[in-house]
Amino acid sequence: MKNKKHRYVMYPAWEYRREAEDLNKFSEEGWQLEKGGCFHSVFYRDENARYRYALDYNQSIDDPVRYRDTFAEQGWEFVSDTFNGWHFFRKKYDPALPPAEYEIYTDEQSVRDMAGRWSRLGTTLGAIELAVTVLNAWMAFREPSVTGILITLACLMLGIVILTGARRIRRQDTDRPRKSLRWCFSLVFLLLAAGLVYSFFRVHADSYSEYVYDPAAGPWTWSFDVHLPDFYTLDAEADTDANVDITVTDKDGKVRAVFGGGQDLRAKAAMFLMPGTYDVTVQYAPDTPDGTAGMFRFEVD
Amino acid sequence: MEPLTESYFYILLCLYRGPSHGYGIMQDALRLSEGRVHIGSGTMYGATGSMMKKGWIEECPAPDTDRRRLYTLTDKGREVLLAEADRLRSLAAAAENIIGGEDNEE
Repeated sequence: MKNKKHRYVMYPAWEYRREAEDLNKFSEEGWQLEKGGCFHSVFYRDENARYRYALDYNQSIDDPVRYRDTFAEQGWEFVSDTFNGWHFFRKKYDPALPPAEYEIYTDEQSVRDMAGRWSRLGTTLGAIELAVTVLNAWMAFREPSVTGILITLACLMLGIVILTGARRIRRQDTDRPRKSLRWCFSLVFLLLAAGLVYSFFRVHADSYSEYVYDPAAGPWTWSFDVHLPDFYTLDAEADTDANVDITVTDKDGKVRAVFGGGQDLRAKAAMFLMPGTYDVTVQYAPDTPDGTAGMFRFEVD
Repeated sequence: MEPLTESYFYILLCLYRGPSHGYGIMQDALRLSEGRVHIGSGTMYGATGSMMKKGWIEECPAPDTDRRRLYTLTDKGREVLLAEADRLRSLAAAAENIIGGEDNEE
């Protein structure tokens, strides 16, 4: 039988009581915490031990030795701490002792102080998250993309979840875990993951070529494929002495964008494209002398 | 000055007769309050730290055989405790005047 177990799970800060209850339950099942973490915890097998766990949040301990000594005096053993200020303690469980023996904060003021420490951090993080949302929304508005919209929604939801969590921890409304808040928290990660996957599979195509005018050969065409529906930008540059028209058409021949009429063209067009093949056609004006050369660069992103 | 919390009051009270360590204070507070006031470790660390910053208590050297932290009351802490005790006596007297009087009338 395995003697070690790794658990990958993330508890929001305002569910620290639920985390301690889960650790107590694991201890009763013979799995004792060796290292607690924000995303990853390690347990070892010991069926003879029974512990009760407590989590403390304190990111600015002025005297770490006195801190741990104070806990040790009442039988609390330090297990581990996290980079962001959570400390895991455990105490041997004795059913004869009253439940107060397993509480580390025992008056309203100290509970409020502890909650206030995280609540201040949570409120700051939530406010930063909302500022990031505004920035993302502005970027998504300027250069629309499904990824940008998903990430903006994820930032907005994360900001709201953190601010709601900070409010709950400040009010000590932490005994009843809210499933809706937990779902929203999970949805944030799903949106971020979807955004990243979407960004990865989005088309990025480009072409850089010289096209010499030949009336017998007809217009020159460059094609690109779109696999995911999204907002795309076609960036076109034409460097030629003749007038040219550049047209983007879909597979049904429907025109999606037209640049034209000029020499030394520099233009961008934003389009929402569904999956399919698209053609970028370069058409010289009819009065163009044979042999006129032009350099064309297209980029779809 | 604002009223002390029960934990602060009992910590100062437990140190009134001489230095003690966290566990001793916790046990004394439990006994003095007849089992009502239990000062948990997190509360104890925060309260003792805060009172040391305010200069009400201070750490004092413990015997070599004892690793536990010993705390002692300062003159300022003694003043705070006595002032709080006066305030509580005054509250109790006011309550006695009204409620005690009603009991007597009944």
